[in-house]
Amino acid sequence: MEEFRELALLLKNYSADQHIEVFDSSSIKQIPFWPARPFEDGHADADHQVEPNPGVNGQAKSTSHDPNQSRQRLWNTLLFLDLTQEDHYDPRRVAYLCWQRLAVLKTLMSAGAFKSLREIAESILQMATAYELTTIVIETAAQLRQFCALHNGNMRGFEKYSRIINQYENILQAEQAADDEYCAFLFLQNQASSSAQSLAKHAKEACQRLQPHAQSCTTSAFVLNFYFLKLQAAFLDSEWEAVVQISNQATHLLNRKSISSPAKISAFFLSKALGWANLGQLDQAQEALNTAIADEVEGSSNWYRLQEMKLTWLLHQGEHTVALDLTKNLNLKNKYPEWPQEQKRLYNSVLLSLTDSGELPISNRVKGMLMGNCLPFRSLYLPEMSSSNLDTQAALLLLQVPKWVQSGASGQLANWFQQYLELSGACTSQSARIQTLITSLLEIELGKKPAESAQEAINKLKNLPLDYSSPEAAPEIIRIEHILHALIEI
Amino acid sequence: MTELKEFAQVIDGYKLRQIEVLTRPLRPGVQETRYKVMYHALAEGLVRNEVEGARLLGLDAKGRPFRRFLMEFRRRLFAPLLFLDTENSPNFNPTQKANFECLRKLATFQTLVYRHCPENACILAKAIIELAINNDVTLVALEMATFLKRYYVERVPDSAQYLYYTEYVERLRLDWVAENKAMESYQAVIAPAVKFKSTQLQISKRAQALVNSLSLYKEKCNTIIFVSGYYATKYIGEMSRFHWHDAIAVCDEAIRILDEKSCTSPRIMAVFKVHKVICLTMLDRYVEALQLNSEVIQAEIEGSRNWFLYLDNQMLVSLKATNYQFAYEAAIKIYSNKNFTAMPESIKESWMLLAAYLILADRNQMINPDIPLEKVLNFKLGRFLNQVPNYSKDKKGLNVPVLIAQFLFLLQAKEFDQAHDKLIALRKYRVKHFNTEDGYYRTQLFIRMLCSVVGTSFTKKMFLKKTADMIKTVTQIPKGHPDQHFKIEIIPYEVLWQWVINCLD
Repeated sequence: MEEFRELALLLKNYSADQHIEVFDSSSIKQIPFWPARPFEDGHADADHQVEPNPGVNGQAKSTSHDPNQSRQRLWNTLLFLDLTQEDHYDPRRVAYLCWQRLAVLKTLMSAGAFKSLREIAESILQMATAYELTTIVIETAAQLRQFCALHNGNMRGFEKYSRIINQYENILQAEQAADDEYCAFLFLQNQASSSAQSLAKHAKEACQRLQPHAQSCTTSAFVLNFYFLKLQAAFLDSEWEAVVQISNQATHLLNRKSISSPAKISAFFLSKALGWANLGQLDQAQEALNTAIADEVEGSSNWYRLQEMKLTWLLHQGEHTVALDLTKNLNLKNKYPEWPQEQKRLYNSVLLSLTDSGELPISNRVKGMLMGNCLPFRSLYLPEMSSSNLDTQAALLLLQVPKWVQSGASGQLANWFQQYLELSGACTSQSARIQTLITSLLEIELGKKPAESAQEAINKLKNLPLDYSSPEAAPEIIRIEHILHALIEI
Repeated sequence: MTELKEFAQVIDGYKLRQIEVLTRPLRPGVQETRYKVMYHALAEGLVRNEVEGARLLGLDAKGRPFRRFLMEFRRRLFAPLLFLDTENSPNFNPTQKANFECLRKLATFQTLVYRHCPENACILAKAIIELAINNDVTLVALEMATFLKRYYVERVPDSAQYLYYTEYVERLRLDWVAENKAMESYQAVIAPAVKFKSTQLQISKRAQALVNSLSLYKEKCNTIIFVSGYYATKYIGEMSRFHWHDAIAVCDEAIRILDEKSCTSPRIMAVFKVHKVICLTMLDRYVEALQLNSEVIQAEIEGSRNWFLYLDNQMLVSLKATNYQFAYEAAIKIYSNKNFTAMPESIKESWMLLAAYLILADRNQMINPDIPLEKVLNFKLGRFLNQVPNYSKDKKGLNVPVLIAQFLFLLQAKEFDQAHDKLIALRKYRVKHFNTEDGYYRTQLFIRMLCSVVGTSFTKKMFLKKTADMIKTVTQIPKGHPDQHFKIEIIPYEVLWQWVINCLD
C-alpha cells in the first residue's frame, strides 16, 4: 500500500480538492443547450454515484452561465469520466486515457512521487505500444529511462528504454513526414489557383517521398496519410481501378490491426465505393458503402453523410422503395444528434416528388410523414443566387423541371442553372451534364418539342456518365436522365 | 455556445453518475464509495499496509476482489492527481507551476481531441500554447501547435494561420528531439556513476563523444531541458577528468545561460550549483562551497529527493572541510525527516557511509552531539561491517572508503585481531586493484600507511616512524589531485592518519 499512500498524501498535502470543479447531475440540467435526456433519479449504486460539487462554504454551487466558467468546468469534468471502464476497446478512448496518464506520470515525476511511478509508466507503455501511440511511447520510455538512470542507476533498464526510444523515433519521423505531406496537400488544395493536375502531381511526388518510410513503418497514423495521398493521386487522375486497388490495400493493412479505428477504415471503404461507382458498378459500390456505414459511429455526422449517399445511389438505381424505407428509418432516429434538418427535408422532398409523379406508391400515413419533413418544393420559385444552400436549391429545382417546362418558363430555369454553374464550382463532368439540361431547356424555350429535345439530351448524357468522385457537391439526387424521361412523357 | 454544444455528445447522464472526486471530504450520514473511504483512510494514516486496507473493506488481502479493487482505486486517483494545488504552494516556483498547468491542460486537450470536440480543443490549444512556449514545455507546445496546424488546413482553412503553426511545429520538433538527445546523454553518463564511482575514465570518454554529437543542436535549441542536459553532460565529462576549474567554468556558463531565460527554474540551476560546490571543494575552497550549497538547499522543497541529495552534499563537503559540526547538522536533518525511509536504497547506502565517518569523528571527540549520534543516525556497526551491497562491488570506487572506515572502527574498538585481518585484506586489495599507473595516488599511499601498522605490532612509535615519509608526501599532494573520484577520500587522509595514531598505544 506504500505507493497508494504516497499518492494519497500527495493529494492531501496539495489539497487538490479546492480546484476540482466538476458538474453534478443537478447543475448540468441548468445548461440551456443540454439535450433532454433522463439522468435524474440519482439512484446509482454506492460505488457509482455523483456527488454534489461543494462551493467555498461546502454548499452545492449553482451552475454559472458564464461560458468561460462553464467551459472550464466541462473540461475538468471530462477528466473524471470513464473511470469505471476497462482500459481497452475503442482506440480513441485508449488514446486519451494514455495521454491523461502520461500527464499524471509527468506530474508525479515532477512532484517527486516515485513509488507508483514505474508501475503506472509500464502500463502506459504497454498500452501505447499496442495502440501505436508513438509520441506517448517515446515520452513514457523517456520517463522510465530517467527513472532507471537517476533513481537507481539501473544500466540495463536505461539501455532497454533507450533502445525503445530510438526505435520509435524512426517511426515518429515517418509519421511526421506523412502528416506534413498530408497537410501540405490540403494546403495546396485550399488554394484557389490549384488545378486538379497540379494537385495530382503533388500527391504523386509526396507518395514518392514517403515511399522509403512505407517499407518500415506500418502504423495506422502513417498508413492513413500515405494511402490518403495515394488515393488523391488516383482520384484526381480519375484512375478508378487504382482507387479500388489502393482502398483495398489500405483496408487490408488497417484491418490486420485490432486497434485500427473503424471510422478510419470506413473512409477507405467509402473511397472504394466511389471507385466502384465511377466504374459504373453500383452494386459493388453499394456493398462497399454499406461496410463504410457499418464502420462509422451511428449518429455521427459522417454516418449521416454516408446514409445520404446511399439514399442517392438507391435512387440512381431506381430502388425507390428501399430508399423510402431508409428515409423512414433516418426520420425516426431520435438519438442525439438527429439527421441534419436541411438534408433530411431535401431527401423527404425528393421522395415526395416521386410520389407526386406516381413512381412511388405510398400510404397516406407515410406521405404525411414525408410532408411533415419536406421543403416547400412544389411552388415555382427561383431562389436568390446569394442563397447559402445553392446545391440544395439546385437539387430541388431539378425535381421541378417538368413543371417549369409545362408552365412555359424553361428559359428562366435554364438561366438560373447557368448562374448556378458559374457560382457553385461544380466539377467539369457534373457541369457538362447540367449544361446538357440547360441546352435542352433553352431549345424548348425556343420552341423545340420537349420530348424531342429531352431525347436528344438523354443521348448526349450517355457519353457523360455521372461523376461520383465528389458526391457531396452533386445536385443530382435524381438523375437528369430520369427527369428528362419525365419530360418525354409529358 | 457552439463549442459547449460539442460536449452534449460526450457527457451524458449515465457517465455523470460515475463522477466521483475522491478528495472531497466524507459526508456524515452518506454511504460513501469504498474508493473514497480508502482514500481518506490512507491520507489519515489509518491504513498502512494491504492487510489493514483489506480489513477496512472486509476483504481478504490476498483475494482477487481486493486486487481488483486496488487496480480500480489506482485509476480513480489519476484524475485528482492532475489537480494538485501547486498554485498556492510555496514549494513550487513559477516554472514548475506552469509545467503542472500545461500537463493538466494537455490531458484535457487530448481528451477533447479524441472525443471529437475540435472547437474546444482549438480554444484550449490557443489558450495554452503561449504558456507552454514561454516556459519551454516543449511536448505540450508541440502537441498544441501540431493540432492547430492541422486545424487550419483541414477544418477551418486559413493559409496564414497554417503557415504560422507549421513554422512552430518544425521548431518545436527540433527542440523536442534535441531535448531528448540531451537528456539521454546526461543520463548515459550519470547512470553508471549512481552506484559505482570507479568508472571515471570510461565516463570522460563517453561524455566527450556525447557533447560532440549534441553540438549539432546547440546553435538551434535553447530550451531549459536542452541547456541542462548539454551542460550537465559537459561538466560530468570535465569532472570525470578531474578538471575542476574547467567544470566550474561549464557550470558558470550554464547558470549564466539559464539565468538569461525568464522561465528558468531555480531548481534546475541548483543542479549546476551543486556540482560547482564539489569542484570548489576539490580546490580546497570550502567556505565558498558550503555557502553555495546552503543557498541551493534553501531553494529546495524540504523532504524532496533533491533536498536530501543536497544535504548529502553538505555532509560530504563538511567532512572534507573537517567542519564536523556542520556535517552533523546536515545528518540530523536527513535522518529526522519523515520522507527519509522512502528514499532509494542506493542513496541510503551513501548516507550510511558518510554517517560512518561522522561517527568516527564523534569517537575522536570532534563533535558535541546532544543525543548519542549512533542512535540518531540509526547506525549499527555490525551491519556496516558486513553489509554494504552496492559499494562492495565498486572496487576502485566507494569500496575504498568503506574498507578504510571498517578498519578504523576495528582499530578504535581495539579489535586488533580483526583489524589485522582487515589490513591483510586491504593489502591484497591494493595489490589486486591498484597499480602505479592507475592514479589514486593519495589513496594508494594511505592504504600503504595503514598496511604498515601490521609490521609495527600496533604501536604508535613504530607507526610514526614507518609512515613519517609517506604522510609528508600525502600532505604535499593536494586533495584535488586529479586522479580519483571526489567521493573516495571523505575525510582528508592526513586527519585519518592522526586518528589512527590516537588509537595506538
